[in-house]
Amino acid sequence: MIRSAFASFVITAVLLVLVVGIVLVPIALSLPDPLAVLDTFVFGPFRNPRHTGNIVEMATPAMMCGLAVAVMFRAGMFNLGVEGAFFLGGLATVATVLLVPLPAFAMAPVGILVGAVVGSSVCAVPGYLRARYEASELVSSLMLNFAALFIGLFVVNYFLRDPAAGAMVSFRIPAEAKLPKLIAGTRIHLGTLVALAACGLGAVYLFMSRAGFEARIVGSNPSFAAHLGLPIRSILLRSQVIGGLIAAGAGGIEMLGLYQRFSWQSLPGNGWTGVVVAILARDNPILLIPAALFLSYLQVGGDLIARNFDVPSEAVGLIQALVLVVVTAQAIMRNPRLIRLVTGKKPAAGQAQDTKAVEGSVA
Amino acid sequence: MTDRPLIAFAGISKTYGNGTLALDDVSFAIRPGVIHAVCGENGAGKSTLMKILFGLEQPTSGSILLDGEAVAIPSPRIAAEKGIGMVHQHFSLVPSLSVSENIVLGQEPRRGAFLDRVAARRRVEELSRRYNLAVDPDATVRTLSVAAQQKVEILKALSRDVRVLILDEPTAVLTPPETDELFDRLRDMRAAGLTILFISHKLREVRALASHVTVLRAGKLAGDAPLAAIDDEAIARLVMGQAAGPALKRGGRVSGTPRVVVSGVHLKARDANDRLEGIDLTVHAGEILGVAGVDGSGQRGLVSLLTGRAQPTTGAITYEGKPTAGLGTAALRRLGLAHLPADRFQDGGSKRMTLVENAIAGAHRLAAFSTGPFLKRRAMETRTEEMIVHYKVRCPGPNAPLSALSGGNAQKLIAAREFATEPHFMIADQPTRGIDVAAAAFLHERLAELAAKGGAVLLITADLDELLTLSDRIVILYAGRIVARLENEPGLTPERLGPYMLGLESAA
Amino acid sequence: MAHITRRSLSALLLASVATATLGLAASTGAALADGPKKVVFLVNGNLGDKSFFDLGAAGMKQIKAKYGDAVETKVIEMGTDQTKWLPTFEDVSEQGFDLILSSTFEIADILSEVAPNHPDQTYVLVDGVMPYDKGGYENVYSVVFKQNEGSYLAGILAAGLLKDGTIPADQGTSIGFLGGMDIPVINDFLTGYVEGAKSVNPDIKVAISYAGSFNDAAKGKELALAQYRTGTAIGFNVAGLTGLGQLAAAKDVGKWALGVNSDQEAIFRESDPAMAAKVATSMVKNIDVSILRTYDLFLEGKLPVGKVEAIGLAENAVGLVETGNMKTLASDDLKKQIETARAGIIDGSIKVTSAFGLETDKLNALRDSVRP
Repeated sequence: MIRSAFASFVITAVLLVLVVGIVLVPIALSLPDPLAVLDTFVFGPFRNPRHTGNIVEMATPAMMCGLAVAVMFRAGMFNLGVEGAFFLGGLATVATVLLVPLPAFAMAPVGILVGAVVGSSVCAVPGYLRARYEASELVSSLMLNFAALFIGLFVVNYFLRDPAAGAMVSFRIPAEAKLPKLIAGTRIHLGTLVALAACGLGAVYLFMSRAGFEARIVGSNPSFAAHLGLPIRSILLRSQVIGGLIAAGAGGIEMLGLYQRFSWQSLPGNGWTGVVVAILARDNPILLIPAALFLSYLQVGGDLIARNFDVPSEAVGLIQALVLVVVTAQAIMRNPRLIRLVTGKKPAAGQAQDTKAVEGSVA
Repeated sequence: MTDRPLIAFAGISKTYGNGTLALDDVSFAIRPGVIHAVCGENGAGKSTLMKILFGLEQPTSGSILLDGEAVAIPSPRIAAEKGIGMVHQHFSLVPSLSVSENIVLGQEPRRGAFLDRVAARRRVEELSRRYNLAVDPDATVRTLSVAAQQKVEILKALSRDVRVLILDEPTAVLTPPETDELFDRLRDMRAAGLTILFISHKLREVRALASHVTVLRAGKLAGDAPLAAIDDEAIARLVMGQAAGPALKRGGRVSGTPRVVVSGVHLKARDANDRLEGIDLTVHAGEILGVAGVDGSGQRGLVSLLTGRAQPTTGAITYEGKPTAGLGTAALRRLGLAHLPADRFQDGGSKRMTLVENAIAGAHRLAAFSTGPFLKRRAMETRTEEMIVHYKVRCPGPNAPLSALSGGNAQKLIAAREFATEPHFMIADQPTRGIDVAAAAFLHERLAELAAKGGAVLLITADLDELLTLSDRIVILYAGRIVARLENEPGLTPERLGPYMLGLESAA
Repeated sequence: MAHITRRSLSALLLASVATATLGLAASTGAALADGPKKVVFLVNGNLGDKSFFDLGAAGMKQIKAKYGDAVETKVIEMGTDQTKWLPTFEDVSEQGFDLILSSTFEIADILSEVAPNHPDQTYVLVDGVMPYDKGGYENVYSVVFKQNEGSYLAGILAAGLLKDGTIPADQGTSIGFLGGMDIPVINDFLTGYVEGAKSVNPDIKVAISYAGSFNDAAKGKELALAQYRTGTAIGFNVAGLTGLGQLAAAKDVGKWALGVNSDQEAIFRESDPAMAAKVATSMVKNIDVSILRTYDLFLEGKLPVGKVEAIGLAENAVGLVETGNMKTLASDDLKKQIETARAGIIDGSIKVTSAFGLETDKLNALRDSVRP
């Protein structure tokens, strides 16, 4: 299983490299020293330990958000609440650290835990609405992301705002709450180990535990799950709560790992990165690690050329956009349910609907 | 007639990359203007041979003679040029396009750069008149029934001026009346001069339609004869490679204690075909109760009630004397329910999951397969390997996805899972639809064995031979009611069931 | 016998990497010694904002235009992902720039991490202040703007337009102020604005509201509409995104607004011309001017690194946009009056009160004196 998933991961990665080349080569050629541009993009991230560190730092939230997405995708849920959960998780973590008097050693763990619980609501509520009322979790989670954003801005403005600051940012995160740095000269912090462990645990959950097995049955064929008499609703809800906890925890870790203050004024986008990573990794928790590192590597390479050459930042954005297109196109090709969501087509006529009709007669 | 053969296969062999020998020196001929049946178990090589004829695959050795000349058919396009058309088991229509668009797809009449819709429509109407296949050229394919989609698929094949039409198990997806209509049309086409290659493993259909039969077994030619010269038993022997066991005719067995009692049950469902209007029936321990009826007479509603996926609007169901009101599928399965669903890939398993996962799902919480929150993967695998051996599931291995299995093998694996719980009550819904004779016979034995051990079996089937072979008693559903209750005495024939199934008679 | 093990191989690799890094450091030192000066401006966002960042880039162009081949300038967009700002600063700090400039408050946090690691590197923070009171930051120069001086001119303009009838009395008789929050940095605009208005008309009334938020355009619009409906003819917004609500309100009711920090008329000239048409002028912080000035001082060796400096009208670092709507709207007399006030502030004959360090009582007294 993992070998075939890995093969397709490699194919996608090669495809991505080609796509990046198609954008990058003409840009490089337009500059005085094209080879230096390509060289910086490809090898630059490894020349300086700090830049290699940047890859790891960037991959940390990407892995965890990818894991959150994978756990929900595996249960058949296209819940995009990861983005909002990440945001709200970061905020609630910072709020806990700033507002609740805690002993220094407890600040980070308690903060992240509270952040995870609060933030997970962005995934759990659409999950509940889906399980209870058949409301599309795709739509409700997208909307709820914005609700989370504005609730967050309200909280920052009225409870956490540093009046001495010239912008809408929270007070400084106390140094004791920050996650310890692991490698001198980089910003790689304890959160990276947490993310790696989370991916490992995610694999255990999905492939070695009863609960994960049941979630995968529901995700791969709900009718089969109904045939077996599995409690589909609670499995769906459970998957989304777990996904939400992971994504929101990632938000807290990101804050305590890399930020001085809570300063997001808009959704930070890590959740979307998570979706891309999950698709690239074929929803396989172990493959999330190379997938996140690979995407971050492309990102750091792009940042380096934007920083060091006269490459417009739009070009780097273009590379990212193409990566997104390739990855989503693959996901859509592979997943019939996504096609239905995209085209608005109802589930396959006949059997599935008829079953629902019969179920509908329970009342 | 001593016509020259239209098509002759000469020593065709096909070895796949992984070393599987799919066809081994197969030679036979097809005369023009006949309906020629090709029979065999799943995996016997029928489909591979047809794919070679249609240009989808290339033979490793041997040649195809068309009108006496050796031809190479490297692609379906070349096959079409040579007048060979094929209707696949799985349709290749574009659901969002209209019937006429689908039919002309790939050879569109154009006006400038645009599709000439008027010409397309005219062509479709003309084809549909010529072959008496009525379809609405403007309907969107998605909205059509399976039978209508098949007509479109046939018209699409015919639109390329074919001389030979290959139909790969065309009746697997059809109800009996639809099958009859299809056969009438195929006879018309033969009368119009078309040669038809009909792939099937249903002897009844072969007998009803074809004039000549070729049997393949394990990639080899097992027999080739005009139907007039061979009886059913002989064909069955050729298909299965041994003398078919004595027909497993049951009927009139003494009934045990009532196990499942359905009394006065009504079900209001959104789909009229699922409604039930006052059903009373009892399934006893040790018996097989057959349920017959035209598709859509309430079978689906009955199954959803008995499996706990729906609750009756009025009326009650008891299970070993206990009322089941409010119990869901999980609770019923704990009480000893098992179910072979009609659509094995939709409800019976998950194509994307492995055989192990499919085989153990449902039992995975038992102590044998889990410790604490974790699964015992090794135990699951061992158990699955046992199932694969006992149920003769042909597969690449226990960790292959279910999608890698043919319909018959998948059904055997699903049956292995459902029988593994030693069920008190088994609902077998179309248990052998679309699977080969050997696998069907195997499943029949398992059902009979379960009943012999005291299990109660409810057999719902559209295959009247199967019904008459297995059932002790028979009830016939029509429009959500039971219109007849018959003891399965010797001498009960499909012809006697017909009028009840069509609602012309009632004996309840 | 040479025994190449994996360990020795990796040691070899490490050594070569180290040599390469050292070589890089050496060349960095060389760049500092002679040749053209290198200056970089780091944008913590993207260019094209028609505001602070574009002005910063314009300042860099002015440096280049003034000094030509004696300087190399560079502008780097760091994007909106804040996790990338620190790495960019770290990178740039190692690339041998003579000056690293950046603007806005958020950069203070970044510099507080980066600057101590590179004591020999000089940083410039525009429109933000390092926490010098806590010690350190000897290598960071902060420059801020005397917004009270610019606001004084805005007050003259607003009150003058009413007094000379350019804005007819039926539009309203008072002027407005929409603040983001009741905090010193915002009130520093208010004190100048009120004093400037009173210098034209001692009886002027000023409607003062605080939104309590810098991010709530809807609330800003509600508050501004309330002001406009109760007799305010022209209002000054000092409230970030909230302030954009005032511009929208002005457009809706057909009254006037005053922009802040950057040329808000220019910002909306293309996307919403009807709204831009109601921006009488903007009280701007001339980031470009401050950047060029910083470089001039640096070359002369007079840059007060390790300190904060406030610059205002004297340095032409703040002022009104006189090229847009104001050009046609304000009478020549009024323009002359504004010029006189500017000269007075520069020569010290006019003292503008600053809200920094102002007692709450005095501030309240000022506010009460103009309450409508």
